[in-house]
Amino acid sequence: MLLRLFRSWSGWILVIYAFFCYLMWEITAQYIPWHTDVAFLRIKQAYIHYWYYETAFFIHVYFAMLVLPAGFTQFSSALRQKLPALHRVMGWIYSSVIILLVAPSGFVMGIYANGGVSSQLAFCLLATLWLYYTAMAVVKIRNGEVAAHQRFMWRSFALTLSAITLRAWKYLIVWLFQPRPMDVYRIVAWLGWVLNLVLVELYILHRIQQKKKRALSLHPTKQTTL
Amino acid sequence: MKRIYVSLLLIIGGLAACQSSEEANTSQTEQNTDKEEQEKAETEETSDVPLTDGLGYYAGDFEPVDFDYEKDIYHENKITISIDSLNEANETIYGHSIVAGNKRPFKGTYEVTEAGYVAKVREPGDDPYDGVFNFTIDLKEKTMTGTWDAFQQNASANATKYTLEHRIFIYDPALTLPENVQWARLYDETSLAANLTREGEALTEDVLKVNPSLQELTNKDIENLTKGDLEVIRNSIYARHGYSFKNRKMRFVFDHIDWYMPVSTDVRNQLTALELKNIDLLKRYEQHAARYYDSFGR
Repeated sequence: MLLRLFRSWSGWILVIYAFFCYLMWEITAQYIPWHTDVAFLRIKQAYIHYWYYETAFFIHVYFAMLVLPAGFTQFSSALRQKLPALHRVMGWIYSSVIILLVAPSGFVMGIYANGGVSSQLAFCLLATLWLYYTAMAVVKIRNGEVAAHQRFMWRSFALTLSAITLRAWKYLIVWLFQPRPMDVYRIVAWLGWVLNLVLVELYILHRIQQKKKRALSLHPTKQTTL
Repeated sequence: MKRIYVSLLLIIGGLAACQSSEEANTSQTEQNTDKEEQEKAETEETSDVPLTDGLGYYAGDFEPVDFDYEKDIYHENKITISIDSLNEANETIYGHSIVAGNKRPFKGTYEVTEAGYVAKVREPGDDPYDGVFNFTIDLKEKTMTGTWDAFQQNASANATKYTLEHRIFIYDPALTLPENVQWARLYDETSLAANLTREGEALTEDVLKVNPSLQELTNKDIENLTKGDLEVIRNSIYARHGYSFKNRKMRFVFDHIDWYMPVSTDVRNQLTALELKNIDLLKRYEQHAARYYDSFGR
C-alpha cells in the first residue's frame, strides 16, 4: 500500500507534502503548551503581551495544523466517491477551523506583522482572501454547485499552502542570496501566497478551456456555457 | 598570563565567559579608581606636562615576538597595564595587566634611572599564561616600553613586546564605531582557512546606524540587521565600558578601534539601565538570527 505511493507522481507529491507537514508540526510544537518567549516570539515581545495578540497567536498555533490533513483526503476523486462521509467530515473541519479560528487570528497577527506596512498588508490580505474563498466554497456546495465549490476550494487550499511555500521561499532565497532578514521577510510575505494563487487561477482557466474543448468535440454545433 | 592568540579551544569555552563572574569588590575598587582618574583627567588629559609618578593605565598593543602569519591572521591583542602603587622606600611596584579577558596582578622592583622607571615584575605563576614583565616607564613621553616572557613555554604565546601609552579611562556613551568597521570581516573561530583567505562573515554599513549606549533601540531599528552587525553593536556597549573580551571574534573588531582600551574583565555593574535593555533586545535578534535565519520557518 505504502509502496504504491511512489509509483505515481501524485504519490510523490503526497510524500513531499507529508514531509512539509512534519516540518510545520515541528515549528508548531515549540510553542506548546504555552511558550511565549521561544522561536518567532523571541522577537515579538513588544506585542505578545497584548491579550488579543497572544490569544490570536495561540489560536493560530493550536488550530492551524488541523487544516493541513485536508490536503491528503480532499483532492482524490476516488476517495471522494468511495468515502463521501470522510470528505464531508474533513471538509467540515477544514472550513470551520479556517473561517472561525485560523483566518481571523491570522488577520490580527497580520496587523502586527514584522516588516512594516508592506508585509502587514500582505498578511491581512492573505487572511481575508483565505476566509472569503473558504466561505464561498461552503456556500457553493450548500447550493449544490459542485464545480464552483471545487474552484473555491482550490483557491482556498492554495492559500493554505502558503504556510509551507512562504517558508520554503525564505529558505531558498536565504540560501541563494543571503539578504538582510527583514528584506527577505517582506519578499516572502507576498511571494509566499500570490504565486500560489496565480498558479491555481491558471490551472482553473486551463480546466475551463479543456472542458470547453471537450464539450465542443462532443457537441460540435452547441455552444456550451459554464 | 598573556595570551597573544589563544588556542581555539580556550576561546570556545571563553565565549560564555563574557558573563563570567569575578568578585564584586574587585570591580568596586576599580570603579572608584576610575572615578578618581576621571577627575584627574579633566586637568591632565590635553596637557604636555610629564607624569609626576608612574601610576595609572598604559594601553596599547601586545605583540608577539615570533609570529607565523601563514598560520593565522590574528597576532596581537590590546593590553592595558595598570601601575597601582609604588613603594619608594623599598622600590616595590604593584599593578595588574588586562589582556584578552584575563586580568592578572603583578609585583616586582623598580629603579629610578635617567630613562625613567625601569621595572621587573612577576605574575603569580598559577595561570598558564603568567610570566615576567620588563619595562621602562618614560615619564616625559608618558609611555611604557618593554617585553614579557612566559614562565611556561606555551604553544601560543611565549614572548611579546609592547610600547604603551599612558591613558586615562573615561566611560563615554557617545563614543561611536569608526567608519571603517563596516568593511571589516568577523574573525571565524571555526575556520582558520576562512580567515586566511578573508572569506569570513562581513559586517555592513548598518553597524554604524545605532548607538545602543545612547538611544533606546526599537524592533524597527534592528530587525533588518544581520547577525554579525547585531553582535558588534551589542558588544560596543561592553567596549565603551572597557571590557576586555575573552571572545576572540570581538577582540578582532574592537582591538582595532582607537578609543577602545580594556580595563576590566567584568563590567556588568557599570551598565546603564538603557544599555541593559538594549542588550536584551539585541541578544534576542542575534539568537533568532542564529537559530532561524537560514532555516525553514519565519
